Amino acid sequence: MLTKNEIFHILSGLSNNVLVTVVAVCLGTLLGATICMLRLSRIAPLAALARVYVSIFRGIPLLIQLVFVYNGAKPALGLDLSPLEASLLVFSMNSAAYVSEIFRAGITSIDKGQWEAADSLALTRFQKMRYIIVPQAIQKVSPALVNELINLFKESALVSVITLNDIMRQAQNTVSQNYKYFEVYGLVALTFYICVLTLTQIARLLEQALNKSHGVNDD
Amino acid sequence: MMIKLQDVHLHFGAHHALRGINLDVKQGEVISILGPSGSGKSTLLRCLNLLERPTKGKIYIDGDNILGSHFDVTRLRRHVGMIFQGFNLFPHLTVLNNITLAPQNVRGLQVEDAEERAHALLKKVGLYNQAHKHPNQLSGGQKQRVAIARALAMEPNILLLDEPTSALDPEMVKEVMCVIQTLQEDNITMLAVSHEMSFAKNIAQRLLFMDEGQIIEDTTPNAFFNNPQTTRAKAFLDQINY
Repeated sequence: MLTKNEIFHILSGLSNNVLVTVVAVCLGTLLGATICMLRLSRIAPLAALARVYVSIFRGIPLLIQLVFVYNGAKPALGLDLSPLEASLLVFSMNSAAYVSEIFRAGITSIDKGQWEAADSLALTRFQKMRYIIVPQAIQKVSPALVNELINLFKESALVSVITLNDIMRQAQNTVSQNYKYFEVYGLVALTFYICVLTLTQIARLLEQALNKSHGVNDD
Repeated sequence: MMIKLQDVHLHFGAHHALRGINLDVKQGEVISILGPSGSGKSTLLRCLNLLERPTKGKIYIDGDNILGSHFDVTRLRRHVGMIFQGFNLFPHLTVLNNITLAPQNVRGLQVEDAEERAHALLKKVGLYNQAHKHPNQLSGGQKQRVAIARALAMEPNILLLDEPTSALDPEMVKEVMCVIQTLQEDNITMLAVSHEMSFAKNIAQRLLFMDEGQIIEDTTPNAFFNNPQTTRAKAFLDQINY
């Protein structure tokens, strides 16, 4: 069995997984919303820029992005990134790409009649987005956003590769001393599983509350 | 002259939906547009608030060339309300907020004024106690009456009705038609595409019959139903088993 100290040492790494996830979700959502607006803008170069951004961050494995940015920032830009800085940067930018696509799917899924009704009432493009389209889109995509949060949390274990002391790296450190592979990695797996189950449950409750307060989303 | 269309054409790709529409409409006229499906009735209606843009021709509303390149579309739409077949209420807003949204944001009304007016309109359409419900809690007929109140809240000069009763169960058609009938008193110019013959017979003063993107009869409802001029109109009337 693992000692109390070993367990504590491993679990203490979880704070870094949470930190990376929370920051990436917040910045990713803000940046993702911006990219989505660019993507849907009528100005072609902006839309193209957004498309390229999304294509790059979705087309390269997250692990490669992490290693490349962490190790490549110094020789390329003279930027000395700490493991935490590199992790926050890459996870936020990566998340933004996915979130922007989620938002875009939500916005384009809104029935044509809603746009036309808003048009017929003389709302401007901005008013239409703010009062009619975006509120409905957010409600529609909230399950997908929670999924993105859960994915980010699971993928946050990748930061161990660039030596950020997350739960996985703490586990690797521990196992290199006590060789209790089954117990150590079992603990890590169990921890992730419990966290994800909890998040899923919270998401379900949240969604129910949202549906209740807004009425079922059909017309 | 309130609305004037001159040789209006509209192409959807290869499909020539409107083929030279000429039309003058006076303030306060109530017009029923009939015709077989695909004849361009809805398309014509949707050109009047620029949900569709003609590919050729001119449309003047109150003297403004609404197809001009510098014309502000939202200015036009402030005065042109539209009722849709599928209601298109905003499902995330209450009935009250569906009605007050545009008056507050487009016309700049204060919340209290917009709400007072919304309540008065709900009373007019017979839904006084439904203000705080969401659209999904209403029947089809109630939804369409809310949609009418929403359009009226902008105090339009022109109201476009695009098959307002086609999505309704038969017993709900009447309640909506009754509400539409009361609008005659308000001197609103109304153009309606409707398969509901009671609109054409009881409410409209003028009837346009369309076929293949053209207006082929422009007459009174009485004359149309009793003495149609074109063979196409005769065939249409035979088919609807009038």
